[in-house]
Amino acid sequence: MEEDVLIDLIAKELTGEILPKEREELQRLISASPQNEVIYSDLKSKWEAAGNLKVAIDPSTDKSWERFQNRRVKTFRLQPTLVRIAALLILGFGIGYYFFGQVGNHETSFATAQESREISLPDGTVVTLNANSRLAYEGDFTGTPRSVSLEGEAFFDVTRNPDRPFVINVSEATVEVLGTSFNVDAYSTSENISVSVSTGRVALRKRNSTEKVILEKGMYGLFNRKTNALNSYASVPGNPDYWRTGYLKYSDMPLREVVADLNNNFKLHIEIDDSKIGGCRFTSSFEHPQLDEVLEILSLTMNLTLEKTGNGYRLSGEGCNQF
Amino acid sequence: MEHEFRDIYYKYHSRLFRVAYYILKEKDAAEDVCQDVFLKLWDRRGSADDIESMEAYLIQMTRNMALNHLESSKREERLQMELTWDTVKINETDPIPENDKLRRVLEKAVSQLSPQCRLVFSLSRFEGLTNEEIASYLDISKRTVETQISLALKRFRTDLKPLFASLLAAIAILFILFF
Repeated sequence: MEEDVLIDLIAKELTGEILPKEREELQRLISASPQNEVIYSDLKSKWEAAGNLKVAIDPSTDKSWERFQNRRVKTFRLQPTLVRIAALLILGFGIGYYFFGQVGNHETSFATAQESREISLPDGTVVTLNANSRLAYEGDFTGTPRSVSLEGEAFFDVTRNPDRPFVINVSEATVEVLGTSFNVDAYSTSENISVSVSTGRVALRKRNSTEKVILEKGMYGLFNRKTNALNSYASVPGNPDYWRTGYLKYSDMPLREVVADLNNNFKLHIEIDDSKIGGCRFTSSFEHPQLDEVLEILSLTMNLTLEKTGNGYRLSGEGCNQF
Repeated sequence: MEHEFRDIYYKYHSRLFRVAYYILKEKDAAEDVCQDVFLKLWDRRGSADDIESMEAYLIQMTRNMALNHLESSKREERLQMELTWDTVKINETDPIPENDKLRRVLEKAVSQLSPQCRLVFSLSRFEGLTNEEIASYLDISKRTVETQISLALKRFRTDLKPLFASLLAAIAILFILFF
């Protein structure tokens, strides 16, 4: 115990940390016993001897630095691999650019074959894409305006956002909206690009032109590809949503419009003798009908004759002789 | 950047090497630790300006990595217990044979200290640092430095007991013979 105290004091003395009071105590202990004196002188000489020694190692900083350089280079050796990967990516983008004409700004697209399909866009807009149609947007759909391109037909239920107008680019026209629901029919096979509005307000504009029509709820806009004419109508003719709803409704509609609607919805070619029966009015509704069923009811109701032709049907009659 | 780093390397490498060596008692392991320390410094070279005292930072990192090295291989630690150092005199013009004997005793005693105790003792005696410097380099209190040195001395004392016993016996014999 006393030896511990003694050695603590010796340690302080040897490292030069001893206080005057502690030195007095150390002196007292040393003179009190010869053994303590031996301990003190031994540790002191060892301490001093150690101070005259150094460990027999001679680190070569030059060698160490050289080795360090090599190790550091080794960690950098990953880089050629990275360069190769980068080169492959650049090559890949190059090929992509060559074939698709887009670089960096990748395109997201949705396409349908025989079935229609519902698509949710990143902004919450729901697009119901009709058969044989394609919808696409570039990047992550965060730009302004919200821009999509459409081939074919789709019903849009656009999430309202006044700061970011929603724009649909079709072949020769552009549809601009804030937030609304409407149908766009832009099949390349049909003569017209048509827009029918369910809710809200929509602008149908000629591509690269300021000429446009504003369509309110229930209205119908038509762009004729052949005549380049842009028109709006107060009411939606026929059933542009049939492909989506499966519902056909004709309310006191002239037969020529009914036939046009059927031609449109069933991709048919029905001929009528317009001067005789085109103006006859028809009222009926169908839910998920078969085409045969519709044609049969139409001919029976209006006392018409139905014949099959080479590329469709022919409806003929003597006039609007209702029962 | 490269040039500055090289300067730092040359400035601190040998001391860091010895710090690692005091803990590990093995040249190759000490050099490995040094390399790791400098690689780490290289990785954070962008933020090296934030380091208040480069020397203390590097010494602490070296100490920690050397102690980790011991921790990670308990088997090596056992082997390490057996290792003793070779020391050389700083002043070679003082070749007293007895001193050499004392040197061997010291080498053995220091080798058998605990790694942390050996580090503190070595920094004090072999590097000639003051307690205050050791405390700040190792980020420990001055009190801890004192305790470690005291522990080292106790160890010297304990290990030297047989030597002292024989020394005392010799004195006693001399005493009896002449008086």
